[in-house]
Amino acid sequence: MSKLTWFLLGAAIISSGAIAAAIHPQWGRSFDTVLLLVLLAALLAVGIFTFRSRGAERRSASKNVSPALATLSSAAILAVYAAGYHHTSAVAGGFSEQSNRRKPPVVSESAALASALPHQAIEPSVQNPPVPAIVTQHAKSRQKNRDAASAYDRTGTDFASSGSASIENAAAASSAPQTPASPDASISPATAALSVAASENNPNIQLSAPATAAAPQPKALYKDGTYSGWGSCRHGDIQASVTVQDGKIASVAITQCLTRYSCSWIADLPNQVVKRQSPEVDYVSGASQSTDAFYGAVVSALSKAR
Amino acid sequence: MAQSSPPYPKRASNELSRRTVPLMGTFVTIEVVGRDEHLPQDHPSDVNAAIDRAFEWFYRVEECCTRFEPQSEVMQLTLHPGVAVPASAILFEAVQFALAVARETEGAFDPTVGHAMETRGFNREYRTGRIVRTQLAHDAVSYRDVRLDPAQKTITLLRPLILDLGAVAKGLAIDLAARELQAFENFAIDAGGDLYLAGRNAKGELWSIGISHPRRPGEVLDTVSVSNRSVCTSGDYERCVGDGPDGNHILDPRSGVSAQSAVSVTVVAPTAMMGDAISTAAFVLGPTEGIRLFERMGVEGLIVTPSLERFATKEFPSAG
Repeated sequence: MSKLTWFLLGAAIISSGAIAAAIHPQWGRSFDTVLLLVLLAALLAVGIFTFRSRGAERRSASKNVSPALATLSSAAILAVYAAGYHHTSAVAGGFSEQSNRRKPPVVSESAALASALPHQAIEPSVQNPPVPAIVTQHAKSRQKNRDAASAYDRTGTDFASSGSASIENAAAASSAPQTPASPDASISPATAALSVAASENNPNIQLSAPATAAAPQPKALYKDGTYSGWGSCRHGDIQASVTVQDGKIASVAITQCLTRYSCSWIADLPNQVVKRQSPEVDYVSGASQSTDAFYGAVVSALSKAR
Repeated sequence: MAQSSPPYPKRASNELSRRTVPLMGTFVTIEVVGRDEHLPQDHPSDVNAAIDRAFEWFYRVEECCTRFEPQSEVMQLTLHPGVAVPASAILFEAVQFALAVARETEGAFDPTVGHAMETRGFNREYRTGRIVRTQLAHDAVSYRDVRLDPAQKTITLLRPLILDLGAVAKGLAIDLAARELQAFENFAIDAGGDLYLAGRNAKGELWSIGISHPRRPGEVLDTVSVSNRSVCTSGDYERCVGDGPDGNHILDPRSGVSAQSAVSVTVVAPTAMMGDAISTAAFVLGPTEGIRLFERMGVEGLIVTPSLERFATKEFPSAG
């Protein structure tokens, strides 16, 4: 029997016992009945626990691993999302200014929002850690990281020299623990604004929606015009021209094709960049559009459009 | 458009918000269908702002997880073997998930193949064309050589190695973007053929997703109808680099050569992170073990062998 079956069986027995006790108050009053139920629950718990640890030893034989991975992936997404722009930006570097601008206005508001969000797993906590302090500290430790890295470059194989610097670094980080679930960082303010707007209970807070529009413009905007660029891979070179209209890619064309293979292979790619839809399907999974040379050509062309 | 069902508002095609950006070595398209009914009608900028933020997750994840950039966080780990290096939430979660998949697949999926990939020619930085070479001892490494400390959020590489988070990172970026767009019920995220589809398409129907034919470019092998699912395909045809005619971008971590028992694997999963990693693992495992993996993981999948024979799970949402 699998863990799940055990668990369900246990839950069923305990709950039926509890219901029986509730329906017949005289049972509930009997100390023996209560003791029996507790003992039964404990027995089942022990059973499940031993079953689990045995299952962990031979994972491949375990049948119910799927929820584990699904849960883990969802938890990972939430953890990163909850850490939000603050922590990711601290590491990415160069984004700290933006993230400061994104600081949510009122903490209690965002804590309330957390519960309004469809994903309930974000737990609003009461603490409000000094996030900017962590950011700076983290940035510092990253700088140390870089120093250590350059030290490594010079010494070649001497791991120990870079090691000591990083231990310091680790200590610095542990003194500034990262708390991804903090309400401050739990939701990016822009999302918060959206969620507020989305919840009908709070029509007044919709006013905060314009703050969303103040979010920094992405790097994705291009100057209008037509640009061309070369891309290459082991099989040859491709020149692509990209036309930008209203800041967006309006059309892409392959202008020269100097590859070993026929360009009919990728003849469809230019259209796909602009519009990936065909009459039959909305999107295509596993399309060959990431063909290096063409991709490189488009990226190179667009780099001139910035 | 006429057959649009009542719960899903009709939309003319010019109301679509769709944008494509070159990112992560491929083209990323985000499309939001239908205006959120709760938003005021005069707020079209909200859709665009949300799409901006969704794209920003891709930038963030790429910055952390690319092995083509020596300054990236993941490459910083390589410089400090044996040291517990504090990691950002993105890197820590990506590595933690990659290791979990590695354990579940007993090494068929292994994020420590980075150096082997680099030596085999998957070393070109896609923006600049610059060749990346990292000097490391050619030791046999595996996912067991990576230690995580969930309390301190640190990552320790027990031996010098390069983490290749390609499969997980793209999935994570898609999922984060999807999370960012959650307020809009109907949207699609396409990162080079790895997709997340939420709600319905513009016609109010389930999203119809073609699976690229592994041997006939431009043709569709099969079609699936999905909603609130990721569709990820690992194929042997995606990149025109590699050693010899059979070189593809998926290595069998256990043998160190390109995986040969499948030419295309499609997984329909609740998250793109899961779909991307599992499809990569199944590509290595081949049809028999691959299908078993899908069933164990509770995902639907389709595996195509070199002879174009198809193996699918019973509930694979094939529409054709």
